Amino acid sequence: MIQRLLLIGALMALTLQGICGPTETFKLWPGVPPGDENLKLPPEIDKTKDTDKLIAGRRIIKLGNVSSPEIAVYPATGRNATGTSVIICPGGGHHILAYDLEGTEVAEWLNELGVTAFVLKYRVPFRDKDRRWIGAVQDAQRAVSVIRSRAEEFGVDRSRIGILGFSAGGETAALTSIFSDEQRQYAPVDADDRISCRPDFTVLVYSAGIIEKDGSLRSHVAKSIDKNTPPAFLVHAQNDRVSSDHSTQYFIALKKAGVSAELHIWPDGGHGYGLRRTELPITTWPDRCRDWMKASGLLEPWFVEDFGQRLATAYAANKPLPQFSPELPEATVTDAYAVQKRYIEKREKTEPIGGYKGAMVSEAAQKKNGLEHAVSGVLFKSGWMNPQNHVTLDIKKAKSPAVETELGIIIGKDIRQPIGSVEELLPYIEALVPVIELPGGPIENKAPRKPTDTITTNIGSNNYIVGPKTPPASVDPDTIKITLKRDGEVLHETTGGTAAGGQWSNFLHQVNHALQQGYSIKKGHIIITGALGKIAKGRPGRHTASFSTLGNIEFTLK
Amino acid sequence: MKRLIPAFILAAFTSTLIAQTLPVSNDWGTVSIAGQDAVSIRIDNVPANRTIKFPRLFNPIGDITHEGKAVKGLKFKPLVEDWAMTLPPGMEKTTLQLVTLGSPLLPVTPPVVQELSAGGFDLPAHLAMPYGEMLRYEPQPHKNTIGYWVNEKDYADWLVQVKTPGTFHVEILQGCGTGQGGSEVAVSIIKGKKILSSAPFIVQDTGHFQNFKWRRIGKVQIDKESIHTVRIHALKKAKNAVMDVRKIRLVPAPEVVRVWPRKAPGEPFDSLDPKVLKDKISQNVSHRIFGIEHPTFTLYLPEKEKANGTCVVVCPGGGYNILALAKEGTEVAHWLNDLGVAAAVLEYRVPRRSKEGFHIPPLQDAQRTIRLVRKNAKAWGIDPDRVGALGFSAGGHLTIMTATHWDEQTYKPIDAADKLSARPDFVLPIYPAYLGYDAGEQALTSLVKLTDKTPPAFIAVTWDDKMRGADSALVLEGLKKHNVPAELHIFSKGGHGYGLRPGKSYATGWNHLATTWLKQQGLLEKQ
Repeated sequence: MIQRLLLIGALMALTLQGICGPTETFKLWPGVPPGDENLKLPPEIDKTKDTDKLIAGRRIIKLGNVSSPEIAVYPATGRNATGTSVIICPGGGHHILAYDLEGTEVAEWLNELGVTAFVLKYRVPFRDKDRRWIGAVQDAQRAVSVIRSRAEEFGVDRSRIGILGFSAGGETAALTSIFSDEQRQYAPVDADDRISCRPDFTVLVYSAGIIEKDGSLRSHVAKSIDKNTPPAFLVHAQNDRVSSDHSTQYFIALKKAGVSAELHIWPDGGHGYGLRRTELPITTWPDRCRDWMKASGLLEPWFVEDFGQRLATAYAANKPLPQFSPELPEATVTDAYAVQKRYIEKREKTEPIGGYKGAMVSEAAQKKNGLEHAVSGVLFKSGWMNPQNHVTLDIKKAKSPAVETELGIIIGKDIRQPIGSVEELLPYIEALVPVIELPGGPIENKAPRKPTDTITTNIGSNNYIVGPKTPPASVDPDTIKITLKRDGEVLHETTGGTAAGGQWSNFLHQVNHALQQGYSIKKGHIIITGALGKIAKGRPGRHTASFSTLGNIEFTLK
Repeated sequence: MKRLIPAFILAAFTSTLIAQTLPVSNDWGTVSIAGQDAVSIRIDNVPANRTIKFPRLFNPIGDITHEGKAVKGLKFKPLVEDWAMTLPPGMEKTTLQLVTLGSPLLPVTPPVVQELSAGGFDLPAHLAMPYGEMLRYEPQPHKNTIGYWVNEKDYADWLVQVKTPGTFHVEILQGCGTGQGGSEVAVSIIKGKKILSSAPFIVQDTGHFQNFKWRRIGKVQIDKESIHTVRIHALKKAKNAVMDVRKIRLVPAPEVVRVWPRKAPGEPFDSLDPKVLKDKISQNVSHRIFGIEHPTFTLYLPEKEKANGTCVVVCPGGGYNILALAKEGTEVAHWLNDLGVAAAVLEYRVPRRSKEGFHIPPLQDAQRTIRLVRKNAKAWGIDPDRVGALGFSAGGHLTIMTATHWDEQTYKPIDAADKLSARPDFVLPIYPAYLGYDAGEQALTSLVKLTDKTPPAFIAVTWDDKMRGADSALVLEGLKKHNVPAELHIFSKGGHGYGLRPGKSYATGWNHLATTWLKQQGLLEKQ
């Protein structure tokens, strides 16, 4: 990891010095590209004329006579490097390549998202007038195989290689996506061609080449789309001279095949806007594409899996959980929740979830840590204890260095959607319960604890004792007076109302937060809001916690 | 009877002043403030009957403790004017602590309740002044209520500082024991001795006096900016006790307009048992509507300085069987108001009146609503040429029906309003339902009649919402064929029924795109 950090640091330094552009350019084919054996073309040239239309007030490069297909590598750098990569296919009607507008500028944007970009310089003009796409698709398929084969060298994930194309480049990207490995458009030339030539996801911007003039899918498209086609993101303007039906029909075909897709159509935009931002709303499509990539898990920073796995490994080995903030001091609370989620997903494979918990519920704790809300974590069923029989716990074995008094709700009915108000939440609640939480599990102590450490380590979720149930409407949880005693000595006294904003709004926040994190809240789950009053140290003794009308919980720590 | 303190005197006091009137000394000892949320009760001489009395506080209370431990055997009793405690045998000179929720407040003068930031008032029991022989505030944690309401003439008052006059929904958090319901009670607005406005209702049995349930019981009107009294008083006591009241809320109520002057067209339908409809109507709550016999729309007008003249008729969804009124109605109205757009949230007829053509009664309601908005445009500050429709799910279908059937006479015209156009100037169907067939061929139903005169549309939906995304794609293709400008966003994830609530999916960001679209259409410009 340290090596990786150093590498990222070095690359960042390069970027800061203003060195943009590709770090490497390489030829796709070891020899003459397939089909070009007997072809003689004039040299590559920028065909842009001074009289050409400007895009967003600037001229564009129109590269012609491309006969030596190449890849230009734009590696992602920095904290957010994701391992995801995208092959970019510029458009130009298979006559030329809009090399900057629909190529290098896209690479720069992808780099900002932490995505490594490969700009594909495919062959133009077209070689076959009946299959204008053939040379381009051969080049693109070859590009996927070569990049996947050399994934490690480029520092990218071999299962997250996407393809993105505009217009004729969209056709190229679409066909490369829908063709299976059996539909490779050329005879393998070397070992790289033993690797799959199918991208893992597709981005089509004002794509052409999908439908016939009558609006039906082209036959080679219709017969190739199936459940193995990669998921796609599509953008089109309704007033494009290249019909937006190319995109709607591709979307519908994917939907019918059961393949996930996203489609955005704006009324106004025409053709060939690239991703140069103007006042036209359609030029915000890169933001929608970013959201889609994010929702598809493609923009996950590298540390999510890395740290999530380290937490799960440490937990399984009964070792102190690693501390996050010393390694990534600049990480945000959102980053920390992503790590927590991954850690929970790994544990969830063997332990069912029992519910959700809050922490830092008091306004003072939130202010001190610069938080707007309580923080949240997941409770596992394995930690759930009922006090019908007096609970006795071994402090060392239970790894519980603290005792907290809390209030909880038992869910009576699955909650699938965010809830707008406490009144709407009430029908989902079976009971209000007093809870003793015995948080714990050792955590590395390399540096002062930050909220991101609390969150990544699942805020000390461990054991919890759930007391008797009371119907939720019959008690005002804010007025519940709580007293915790050990061997008759009062450890603390508090009320339910010390939670910032009151107990009900905290329950509501925890419910909506869990849903937002992608968890489901099921009947029988418990939700606890967090420690009320001073947290007591876990010391041996007979403990009694009284919760006014909610009843008492008694337990012994050894 | 306790004496009412004239309101003009009260206006001079604030709650912080009240707290400073502690400590209070008695012949048995002293009550003083002990920190943020506790009072200290110092007992110097235990009276012969072992009962000490001290003034009641404007606070709910927690436990009573001695040196940090709850005191056993102590009997706490809220009397009418005072609170009383009977000390257990053996307890002599000592100091007790009474935990209070919030800073301890003495009832020398009742606090004046201020308006909430969202408008309206929260009136908790502990801030009320009870008057009469028996009615009192009971502060114990499980109670926190106005109780002992056994005398019909007793009542309780709150003082409210009204800054935004208007109509308010009255909501009450009420408990009443089994078989004790049926009393007639009213929440009234009082100025001086005059009742200005009143919301009478019948108390409902909730199974137990401390089993509190929220109910919306009616509306009151407050016309002037000033301190008013909100009084809860019994008109007729049915059984032993009227009820316990933990809280009253006054929620700003926008104007509600009836769609039809008399019966809605076709009512009653043979295919819907009136008993079933009545039962559904009785289940209606503010966030969810189960039955509508008389359709209405609620008018949410934006702040005058913001208003741009555009109006949107909002159609909540719910399969034409219910209405998700909060999530797909009022919450949407608030968003539109923020944009300076007026919203008419339509409560169209549910449940379905028939198996076939179940969209027709709601379409009649929606068409007439569009016409009524145009008819009243001047009075409501609306531009009659900028009236759109927005709806979710079944309401999204209804929105498309208004866009594709506006030139059809779906009911017999009643009055001048029906001479006006029912064509929405723009539509925003959000995750619209019933446009195609969930299975089999990928096609739109014959009801989706797209023409050159179909209004411009903004559609948002998700991929993982049955075939609804693909159906919407067909609508977009159809509109393009007819040169009707349209925008479509199909998010890859999000399912169905998310409204505007941020949740699991980024699809809930549709409203930002809709805002840009409205802006692009010139609908957010003042005219």
